[in-house]
Amino acid sequence: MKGILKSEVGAGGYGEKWKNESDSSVQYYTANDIIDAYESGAKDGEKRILAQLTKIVRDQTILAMHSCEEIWTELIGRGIEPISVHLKKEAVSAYVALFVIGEAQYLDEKFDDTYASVLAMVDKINSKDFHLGIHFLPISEEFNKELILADGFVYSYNNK
Amino acid sequence: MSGYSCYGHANHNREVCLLLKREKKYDWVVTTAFYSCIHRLYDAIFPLSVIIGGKVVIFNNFTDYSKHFREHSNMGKHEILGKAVKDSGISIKARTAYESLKGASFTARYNNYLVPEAHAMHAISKLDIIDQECESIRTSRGTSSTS
Repeated sequence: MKGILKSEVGAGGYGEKWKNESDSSVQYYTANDIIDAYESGAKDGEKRILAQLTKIVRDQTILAMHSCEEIWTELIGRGIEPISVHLKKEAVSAYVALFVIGEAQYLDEKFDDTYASVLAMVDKINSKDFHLGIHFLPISEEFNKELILADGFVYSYNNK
Repeated sequence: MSGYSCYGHANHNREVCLLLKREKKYDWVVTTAFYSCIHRLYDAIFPLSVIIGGKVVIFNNFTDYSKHFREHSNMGKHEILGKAVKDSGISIKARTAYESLKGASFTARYNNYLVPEAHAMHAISKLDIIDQECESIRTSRGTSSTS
């Protein structure tokens, strides 16, 4: 079951431009872990529930990825060129995305309008059943991708 | 009786923030600016009326608001405050400043906490926006600037 999202979401599915950068030797608190844990104890009667849970997680991950891509497009349209976005499943139905952007754009007062526009988009996306939080991270020479991965932001996207 | 007040603690954290700026401890400037804004918002946006299930529910403070939404959602404390800020009807400028400050505080780690002065000043400018709006809210409801 390890890599279910990679196989079902990433390959030939919606999120094919997204990379799953999780290290299988490290225990992250990810959807896959939940599913793995659930499966290890599942009996015949529970397999149906597992399938439903898998579908919910997959659908929500796709929604989170799709939402990030919409925000990416909005940023491009407003003259911001994102460098990458890193997505984490934080809890059941809850995701956090880190948009890495240039420092000058981050510090520019005009970025406030873009930020407000993205918040309005996120308000429309979020519901009682799904929550996406977003942060903008100004890139620097000290940018530490290992920490991002260690914190569970295992899905990355740069539109390439 | 406790000497704590949200407003007083916001002021306390702001003073520490500005002290740390003078000491050029810019990573902590960002952190304390965020801490200050949290307490400033606790003070300004509560009591908060929210329509839940078609009924108006009044939450007197963030603790009550957080308790309710922790029991009825899977949001964490910071997501719940973000929802309260949105529910409060505070200006989009102040809400954006809050979200920006929260992001700066949460993500400093990913640049190894090496926060340049420009980022610290950026954080203080966001805190100023929040403080200004919250002070305006206090004035409109007739709350003393010392309480």
